[in-house]
Amino acid sequence: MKELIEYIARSIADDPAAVVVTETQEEDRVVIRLEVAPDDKGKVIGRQGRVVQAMRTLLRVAAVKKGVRVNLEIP
Amino acid sequence: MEPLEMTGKTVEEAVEKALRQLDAGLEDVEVVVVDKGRSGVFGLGAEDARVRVTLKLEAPDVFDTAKETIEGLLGAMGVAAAVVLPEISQRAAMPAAPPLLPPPSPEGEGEMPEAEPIFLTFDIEGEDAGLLIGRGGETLSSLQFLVNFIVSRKTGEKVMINIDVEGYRERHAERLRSQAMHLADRAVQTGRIFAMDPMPARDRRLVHMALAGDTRVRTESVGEGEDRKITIIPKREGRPPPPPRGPREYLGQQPRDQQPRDPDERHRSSRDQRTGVPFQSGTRFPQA
Repeated sequence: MKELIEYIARSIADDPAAVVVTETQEEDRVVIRLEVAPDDKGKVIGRQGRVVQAMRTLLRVAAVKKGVRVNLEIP
Repeated sequence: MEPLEMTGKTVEEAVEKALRQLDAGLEDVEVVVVDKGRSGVFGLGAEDARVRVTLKLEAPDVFDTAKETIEGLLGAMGVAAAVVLPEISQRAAMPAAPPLLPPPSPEGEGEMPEAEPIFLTFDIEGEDAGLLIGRGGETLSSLQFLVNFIVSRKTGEKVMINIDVEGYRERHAERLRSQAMHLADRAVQTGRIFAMDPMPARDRRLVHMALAGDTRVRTESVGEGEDRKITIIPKREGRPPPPPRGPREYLGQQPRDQQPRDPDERHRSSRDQRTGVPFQSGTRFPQA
């Protein structure tokens, strides 16, 4: 799941090296945290949040395959 | 892409003229010689050469990037599915109306005449096809959106990549078309405006196209963003307005038989509207 978000964020970001994705287990769910360079934040969120929304949709599929629940956070 | 027909004194000259007009090199086009022409004698009986020049749309670079991106995403999602039958779609297969581009312009109005986008179609098959389609095609839309976004960023090209999962889109399109035609019939029969459920731009476009040839009705999108939906409006000429009496019960019963039969279709029943009443987004009528 982490790889999925990494893959997408690195493909979109102007500064792929600054993309950091961490995966932590919190109680009943996995929390994926995506950090990017400040200038890339708008890109990974997208207009009206379309990019992050699409990432969440695909992430949900990955989570279903693993049988877990997942949250994506962009701090 | 429409082929460009060009004439010249010789085949070479005609091709050169076409290339100049298309701003392309010989390697970017396919040339069909329609008529070799004749030089004639002292200009008598001379006939121009005629060629048909078509721009090749497939930039291999875009194609490869798109395929890699789809495969990369599928792999990272961990789904059992693979890209099959990648085919380069022809511009000619697209309807003549200006396409509504997915990410850049919200409605594709105006600003078209720049670069033609590159159209590509990919099909995905596999055990997890259902998962990849998602409820109401939501997952497939997200996948397609991201692939378009990533590929256009990586290549700098305007792309319009269509992704289908085991023919889902075609089935979905077929359902929309038949629903649209059915509602158009109802609109004509009753003289009322029918509103379809809100749907994304590509689906609205499908409906507009499906009814473009129907002279009895016109279609119009109303509402904003997620709520934007199509209304099917019967044309007035030659038709008396519906009688104003006793419409209540009728109005309530009407949408019943519009209930979609397919459970994965999220459409609720379509609400109709009296003609003459200005349409307002979100206006609700009592259900039976």
